[in-house]
Amino acid sequence: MALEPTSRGRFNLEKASILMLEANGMGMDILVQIVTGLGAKSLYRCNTVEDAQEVVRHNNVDLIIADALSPAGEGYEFVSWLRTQGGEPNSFAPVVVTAAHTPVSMVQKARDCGAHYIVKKPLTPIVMLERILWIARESRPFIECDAYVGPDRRHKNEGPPDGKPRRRDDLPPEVGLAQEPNMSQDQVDGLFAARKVSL
Amino acid sequence: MSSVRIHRPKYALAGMLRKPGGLTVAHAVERAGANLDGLQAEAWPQLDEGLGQVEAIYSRYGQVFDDALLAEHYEAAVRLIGLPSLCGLDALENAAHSLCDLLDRLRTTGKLDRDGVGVHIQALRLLRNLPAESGEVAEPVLDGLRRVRERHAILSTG
Repeated sequence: MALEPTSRGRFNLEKASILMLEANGMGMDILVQIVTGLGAKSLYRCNTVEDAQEVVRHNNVDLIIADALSPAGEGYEFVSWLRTQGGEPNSFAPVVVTAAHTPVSMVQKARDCGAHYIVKKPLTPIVMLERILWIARESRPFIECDAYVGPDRRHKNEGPPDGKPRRRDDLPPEVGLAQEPNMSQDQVDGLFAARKVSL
Repeated sequence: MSSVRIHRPKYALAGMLRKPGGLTVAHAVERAGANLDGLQAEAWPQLDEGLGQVEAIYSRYGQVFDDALLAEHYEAAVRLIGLPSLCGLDALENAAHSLCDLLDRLRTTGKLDRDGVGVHIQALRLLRNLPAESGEVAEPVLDGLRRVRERHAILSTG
């Protein structure tokens, strides 16, 4: 559900260390104005992947907002590096990737870099805050295998890709015949309603 | 077969967000919006410079497909993204995205559509000079750009 910009709900970003990777000066200014407006105070501003790697090696970060950086996608490569070589706990850090444009040729790279979310520019405070809150609240499993390290990419409950089960806990797409008779309404009610029992 | 590790890391961020104090969503979004408004004066000249670059690159177009030139054009178009909306020009923002889409599609398919790109360049200039609240004028322009893009739609092979 979308976050309402008029919500009176509270959140606190004051103590969060946020690493921001953005090569474009105005892009960085926009990001800084958004996150400081949202209450963040501890910011690492990095213009290059090398700067960001240096921060990750020597500091704990609670959130990373990384731009894709260029059509070649160095930002995606930074996230892949973070996931595989960033060292714990930073390698598990929540990551939002921002991109001015996600060309067709880069869609797969963007999806597979290990970011939690990809936010298309222009950035807005409400969308950025919404994604931060989503990450903090979600309980998406983290997957580590040879081909991918990052949050589970299958988090929308749309079933296995192409309808073909591939994981041990995937259910078959065909629903079998019922093995037991349906429960009566009384039985269903009995599962939910609190009842006094005598022992 | 490769091994797979599945676990649920605890995010320190989740605990921090729940700490007492902080801001309401409404207040934070308003503050951040006001901060962005403060960037407008800086954004206008960058927007105009960026539009000038996009036009200058288009003026170098020849009659044959030139991937390096399209790549340069694409990068210049990408640099525009974010600036128009900072200046309150949402239609121009959409047109800039449209140009990025078109240039990417042309590069992917190896085609040149000089006229299609030219229409985008003219639209960018027109939308730059329209007042921000000229939605009725902007809408048919954006619709025309969409039709140009659709000529180069890349069909999924999946």
